[in-house]
Amino acid sequence: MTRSEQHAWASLAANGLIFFYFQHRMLDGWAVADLAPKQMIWTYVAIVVAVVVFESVIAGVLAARAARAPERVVEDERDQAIQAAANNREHWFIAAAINILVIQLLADLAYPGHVFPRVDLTRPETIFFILFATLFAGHAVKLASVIVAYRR
Amino acid sequence: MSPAAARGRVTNRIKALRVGAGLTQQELADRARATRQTILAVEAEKYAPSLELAFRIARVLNAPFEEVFGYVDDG
Repeated sequence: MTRSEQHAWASLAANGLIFFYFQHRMLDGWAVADLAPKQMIWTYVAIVVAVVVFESVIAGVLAARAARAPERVVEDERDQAIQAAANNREHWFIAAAINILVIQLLADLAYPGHVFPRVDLTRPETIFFILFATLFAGHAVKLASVIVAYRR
Repeated sequence: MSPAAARGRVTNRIKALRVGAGLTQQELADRARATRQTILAVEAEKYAPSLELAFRIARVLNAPFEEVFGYVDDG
C-alpha cells in the first residue's frame, strides 16, 4: 500500500469518527436540534481541533514510517494523478451540493407550495449542519475515490 | 470512426525484461524513482506512465524504448 493510500484509509476513518461526533452534537433523531450559539461555537472549535490533531498524527506516523527507508520513493506521478482526479470529484460533489441548496432556498421563496423535500435554511443550526455535512461528505468522496483508484 | 473516438493502449514488456535483468519490482522502482505499486500497475498495463517515467524505466532496464513500450490501436 502506498503512503497516499494509507493516508486515505486513515483519514477516512478519522473523518467518519469526527462526523459521528458532529452529528451526535447536532442531530436529534433525523432533525437538527435547537442549539444555543455558544454550543455551536464549541462544537465548531472541537471539530476543527479534532481534524487538525487527527491529520497531524496521521501525517506524523506516515512520515516516521517513510523515514525508515529514506531511499524509497513514497509518492510518484501515479499518486499525484490519483489525488488530482479525487480532488476533481470532491470539487464536483461540493458544487452539486451547493447548487441543490441554492435551488432549495430559491424554490422555497418563489414557490412556497412546491413538492420537493424541505430544509429550513432560515435556522443557523440547519445551515451550520448542512454546510459542514457537505464538507465532510465531499472529503469522504475524495478519500473513497483515492481508495477505489488504488484498488482498481 | 472519427479520430477522436479512436482507442488505443500502451503495452510493455517490463516484466520479462525486469526478470531477465534479475531485478525485483522494488529494485526497479527505486532505480526509476517510482513506487513499487506504480511499477506493478504499469506492468499490469493498468497505468500508462508519463514519457519521463517510461524513459527512466527503459534506461534502468538497459533496453531501447521501443523494445520496452509499444502502442496498440484497439479502435
